[in-house]
Amino acid sequence: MTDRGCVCVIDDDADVRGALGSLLRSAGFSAALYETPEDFLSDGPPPSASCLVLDIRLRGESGLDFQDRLVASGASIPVILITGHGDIPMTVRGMKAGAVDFLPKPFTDDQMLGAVAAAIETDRARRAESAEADALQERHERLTPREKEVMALVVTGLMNKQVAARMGLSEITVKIHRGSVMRKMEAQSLADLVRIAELLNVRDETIHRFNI
Amino acid sequence: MRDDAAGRRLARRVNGGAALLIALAIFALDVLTPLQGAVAVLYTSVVLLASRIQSRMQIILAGTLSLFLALIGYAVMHWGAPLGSAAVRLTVSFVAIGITTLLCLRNQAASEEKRVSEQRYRTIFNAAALPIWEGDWSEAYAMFRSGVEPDADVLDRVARSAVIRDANDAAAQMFGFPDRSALIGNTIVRHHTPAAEATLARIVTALLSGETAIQEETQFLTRTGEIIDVVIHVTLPPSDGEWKRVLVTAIDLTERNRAEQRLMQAQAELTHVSRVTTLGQLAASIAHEVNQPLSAIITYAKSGKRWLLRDTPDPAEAVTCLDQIASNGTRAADIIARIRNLARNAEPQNGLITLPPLIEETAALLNRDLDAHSVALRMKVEPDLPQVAGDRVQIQQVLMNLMINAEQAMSATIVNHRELCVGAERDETSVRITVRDCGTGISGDLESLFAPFFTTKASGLGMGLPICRTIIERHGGTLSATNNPDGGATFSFTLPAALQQHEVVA
Repeated sequence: MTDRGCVCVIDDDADVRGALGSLLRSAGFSAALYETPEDFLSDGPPPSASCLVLDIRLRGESGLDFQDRLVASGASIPVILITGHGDIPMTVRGMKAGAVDFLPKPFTDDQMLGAVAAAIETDRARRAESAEADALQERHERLTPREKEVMALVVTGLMNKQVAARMGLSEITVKIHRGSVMRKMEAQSLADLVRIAELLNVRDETIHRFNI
Repeated sequence: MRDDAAGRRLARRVNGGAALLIALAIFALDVLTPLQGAVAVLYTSVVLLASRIQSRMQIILAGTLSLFLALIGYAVMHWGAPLGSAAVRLTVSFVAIGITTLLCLRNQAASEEKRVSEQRYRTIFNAAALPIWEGDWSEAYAMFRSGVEPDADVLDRVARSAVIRDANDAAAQMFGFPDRSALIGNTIVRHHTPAAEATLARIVTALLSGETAIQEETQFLTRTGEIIDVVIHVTLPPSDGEWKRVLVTAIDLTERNRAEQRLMQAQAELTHVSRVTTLGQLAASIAHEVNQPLSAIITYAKSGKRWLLRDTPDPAEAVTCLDQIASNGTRAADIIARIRNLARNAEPQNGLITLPPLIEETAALLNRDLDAHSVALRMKVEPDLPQVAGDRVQIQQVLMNLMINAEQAMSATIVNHRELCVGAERDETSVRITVRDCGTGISGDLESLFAPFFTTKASGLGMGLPICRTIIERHGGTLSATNNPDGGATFSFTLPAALQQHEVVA
């Protein structure tokens, strides 16, 4: 069976942890089992698509507190909370903090595997998205300051001569810069460049059609 | 009683009449016959007869009458004659009558005193609230005199021959009769229980060995077949060498014993309730504790099935799952056994208790709860602790109570400082167990903690510590509390060390 992704489990009960590990592996996931949040953190962020199954009731720091800490640190791994005694305030707190699922014990194997599969899918999509964003960012970094300025103005819908006037350049020079921006950003069309600029958030916000 | 008085009055009249007739006859003899003797001396018989009635007045009357008749007789026969032998005879008669009268009066006074004293004794006997009866054991005495050994058969005969001569109403009531006439003339064989038979054997042995006052605790059957607990006191009066009047007094302890038993039962129930309440406080963490292995079992079962149903089944993984299911089942069963022990409502069982496992088990029960309240548990149990005697469950209950109290006392302490120390050490001939917290300590009177219904908790009954103290004291130990110099409180209890086998031998 192919690897369907890595599931990290934090549960202080060795038996419950072991059982979850066995279940996840039987369904084709790889499982990383941790007794405490610290053990999990010391392993570093998982390299591939993954999710975290977190028991709310832990010795010492509670699962919810750890979840807050994780979110604050900017980690983006999807979290599935499990608990034996979930109440509504706990659920609300967990979901507000961005948990993708909340499974009260006892959960069925299908519930758990379904939740895990969905969470990993989310993570995979997020990873793909963020990989694209990273690539665009990198391309944008390669532009010269002038080119960046031209791009920020072009994507607002200004014509070349308007850009030239604004920047105090000749229209020819603007055209050359614009051509290299299109090439360097690997944009197929102006519409594509506009989309990329949206993703990178580099549009010149000072330009409005009424104050040109 | 009324018949008695009437009979006595009649006897007095008959007696008085007879005395009067005899006096007249003697007078006739004196006056009408020419006898030359001191006939008047015969008047003494009148006085003696009169004295039988035991009336002081009548004796004096008889004496005076006799003197008077003797004087008249003399006057009739010898009036005017010179003083001669007749006068001497009269004098002799006077002296005789006088002395007889005086003696009779004294005798009457003595017997009157005796009668009053006897009556007082009777009154005491009858009016006493204490059951008293007097048995005639002379037949038994005769048997033993002839050399019979007191075996079971003989004792049965003794019991059947020991007739009650007298008994008071309290005795009758104790056996369930309306008044004493039902007892007098009978034996108490029909009220015997096996315990009473054994007691009789001991009493007879003691009497034979020369004791005259014996106390025994025994049981009798009442007329309605109820068993009563009695302490009897058997007394042999000093002058009674032949066991003719064996005095038995009894104290009916049935009510007292029953009350005591009810009290013990109530206490046992209270102890149980408090234990169950304590368990109730732990319910959430106990439920979690049991739930963990159960959810592991369910997950392992599901996972085992998946390993077997894969395209390429993995029996090795499935076997691991089955092993894990078994070991988690055992884990759950162990937890339940621990709780069941504490929850059972059984009679206290006395046995030898090895303390370290008991302390560990209690800690295991509380572990989850302590964790939930971020309390660190430190244990300092001395090796080679002597065993103690008592009821394991109750001792565990005390320890658990003290540990939960300690945990709750630290709820206001900052998280990293919540430390609970449980220690056990040998203290001369006993074992001391201490439970120390770093909480707020105890303000006010330390002893008031042990008063029933005293509580410092918002939701406490205030029965925990009094019950703990009762339990420890019933085990022969003490339970006390002190404030620590560096904050928090320490509760400690001692239990006397049970004697080890080799120590007994040495």
